[in-house]
Amino acid sequence: MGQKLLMRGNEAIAEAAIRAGCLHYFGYPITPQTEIAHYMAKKLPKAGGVFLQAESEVAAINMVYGAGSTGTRVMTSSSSPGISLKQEGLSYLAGAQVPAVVVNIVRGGPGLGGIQPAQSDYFQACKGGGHGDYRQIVLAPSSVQELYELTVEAFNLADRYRMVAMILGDGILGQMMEVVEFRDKEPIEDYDKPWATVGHGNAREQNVVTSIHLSPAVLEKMNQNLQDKYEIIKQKECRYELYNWEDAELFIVAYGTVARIAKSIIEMAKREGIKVGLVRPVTLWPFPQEAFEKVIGRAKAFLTVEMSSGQMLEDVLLAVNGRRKVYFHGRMGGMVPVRDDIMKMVRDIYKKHVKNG
Amino acid sequence: MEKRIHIITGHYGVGKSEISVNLAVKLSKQGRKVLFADMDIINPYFRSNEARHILEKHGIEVTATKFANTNVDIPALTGELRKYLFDRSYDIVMDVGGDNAGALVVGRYRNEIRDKEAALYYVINCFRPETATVSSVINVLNEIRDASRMDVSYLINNSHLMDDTTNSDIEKGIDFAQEVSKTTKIPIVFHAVMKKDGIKISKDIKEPVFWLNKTMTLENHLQFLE
Amino acid sequence: MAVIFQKPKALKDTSMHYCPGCTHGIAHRLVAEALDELDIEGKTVGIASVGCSYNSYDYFACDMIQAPHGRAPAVATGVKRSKPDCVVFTYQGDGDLAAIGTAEIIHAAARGENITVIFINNTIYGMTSGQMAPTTLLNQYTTTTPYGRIADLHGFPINVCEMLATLQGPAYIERASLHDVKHIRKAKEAVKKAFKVQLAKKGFSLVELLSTCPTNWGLSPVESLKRIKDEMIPHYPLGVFKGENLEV
Repeated sequence: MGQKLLMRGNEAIAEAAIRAGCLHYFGYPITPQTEIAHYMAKKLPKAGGVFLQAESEVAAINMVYGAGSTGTRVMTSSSSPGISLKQEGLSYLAGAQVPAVVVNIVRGGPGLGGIQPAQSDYFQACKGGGHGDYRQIVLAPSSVQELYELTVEAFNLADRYRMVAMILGDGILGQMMEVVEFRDKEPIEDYDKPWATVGHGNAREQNVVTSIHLSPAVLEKMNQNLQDKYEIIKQKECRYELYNWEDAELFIVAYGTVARIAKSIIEMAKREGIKVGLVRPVTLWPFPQEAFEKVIGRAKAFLTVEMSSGQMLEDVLLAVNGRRKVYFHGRMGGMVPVRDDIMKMVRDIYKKHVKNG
Repeated sequence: MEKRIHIITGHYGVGKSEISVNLAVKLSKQGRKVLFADMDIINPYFRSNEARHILEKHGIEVTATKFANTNVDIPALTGELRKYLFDRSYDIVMDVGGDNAGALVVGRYRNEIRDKEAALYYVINCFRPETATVSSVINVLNEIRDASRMDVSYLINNSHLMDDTTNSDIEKGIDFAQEVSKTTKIPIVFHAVMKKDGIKISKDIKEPVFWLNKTMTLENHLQFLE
Repeated sequence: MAVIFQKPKALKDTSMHYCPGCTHGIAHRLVAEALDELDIEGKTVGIASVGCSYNSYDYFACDMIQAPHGRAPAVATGVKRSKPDCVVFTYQGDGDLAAIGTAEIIHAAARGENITVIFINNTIYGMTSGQMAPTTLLNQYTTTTPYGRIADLHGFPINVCEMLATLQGPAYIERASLHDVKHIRKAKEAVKKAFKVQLAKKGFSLVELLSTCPTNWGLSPVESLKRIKDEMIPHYPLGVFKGENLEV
């Protein structure tokens, strides 16, 4: 590893994108992610790239669609209400198989909601906010270092599978300051893009980037191809962290900022003689089923903690599939789960499933 | 620190709020009547307003932009500040948002800030990527001076890597700040160092060291939302 | 045997789906002739939109992208900004450009985005079977103005060229018509000039082509051409609205 610098989460995302070879950024301001646009506006022109403030989120994602269609590494970023506006474009990107990286620094909703952190866009990100049978790779960092590393990774994944890779952060991650240790050289994967629309140069057949297929049979086949691709991603690209899991009896399931809080709960619980482990999904789609298979033997129960009403909870329930009891604690609207509340639940669950169980 | 109005500026994320809060507490401990003004129009989170309980415990009055730490991000200034700028019984610590964009607030109040009463401090952290070289530090300094329409009176060295800071990092920061001071001919008012076990300054330096207590924490941020 | 007339190279062999008497075919041909004559097909990326011409990628031989409804100028912006050496054009109808895509066209024009826009105005939504367009004339019958377009109820038609010409950004804006040979030749020059403006890096160019929709107008092809002349041109006057003296 190379140089250590102090960076804000949003800056780390922007810097990571540039290091990953993304010199084109299209966006529209919205708190709490605007620092990404500020950083890009300052840096990209000097790096020979393009920063463009679009007239809307709708235009921004379509500029991404255009640039991505030429095979150029491209990114946009926004926060919840803006990401809602991008859903049309995300569906087209999926249908036309155009790679791009989209960052959502989530804030409280619904509607205009507020600017404080939330995880209430999980459904939108993982189950498809736009129309059609599509998926996008969703990466959930939980530190500034990870924002950097996963952003670089997102560009590789997007190119590898010709699809959108989304960084799903939250306001705290975007705004917090931490030390980042930068690599001297980024692991950039270079893919041929023979499908790109850059002009055929009178040297090959016409390339068309499109998501419309007139014949239902052809459209079904295109969909089947997408599903086959998604199946490969499910097999190959699940990422997760298991923490303090080898002798744990209870497991907290949490991602992003909440996973950080969970780690401090684990220390508190240790002092009370309660063995708590953490399952932290790093890819939210594909959801890391494997992590649950690893711990289900020793887990007496699970506690899912989120800054939402229980969105990831549904995937945890599917992964556990009735084999253990799954509890939930969530806060909404920009409120963050506090340690005392979580600790109280841990004690209750421990009493019920381990001590008396 | 002979002036009454202390304006803390600097590049975004160098630790202005931490310095401001610690400075306000120090002045209060010296028996001064202190007004703390969170004038950050840039940052929606992790603002000095979150340390309000610490400031108030020390009898410091706090004023902040109207929507600080709410669910709205309108950087509306409060009218209160003007009153304090003219009340000579107060020492004022103004925590200003990052870069020239944040320093516009100083420009906004420029006509109400009397030079003989006020000092503009420029905080340096050489571990921030945008201010890691002497020339980039000076670029930002000049931008802040232009936006605030005020000359920088002092440098504050706050070079650190948060919990990862080592003694050699601190020495690197001191050397760096002295280099900036030499180039700009602006004196260093102090080197700020976060108190922590094992952290000490072995080298001999002519400027004072200001030992900081940690106030800007994630915990404070979370509790503030309650 | 001497060839005196043939299909432009920039058009594929696919037979077009457009209704008999529709002028889309002529508009396609004019664009393709311009690409041929300027010898730029190989570096051109066209943006198809949503409307009857959604699949113009089946007809144009250059690389093509199919854009979401109204977003073609934004997609074109993304292409041009990432590949400035490509020639980029959008081909949009009146619903796509002047209703759902109003924001995108205004801002692409205001930025002076170095792209070429071919705007087909036939005062109606052809694809979805004859609903009111933003360019539908007052008193015109459509399936959603069954008693005619009434200003109090439906507002007034939008004159796109005049509106965009108020902006500083665009380099060249012209309205032409496809209702007879003389005007088609003039339209051809306009289309070609628009591409030349782009090649000269002068900025945003747009050509509005007054077009027919015999099927949804309920008129024969000949009556349709007459309608352009008698009803459309009085409301949508022909001419150059921006860049008259622009030499390219």
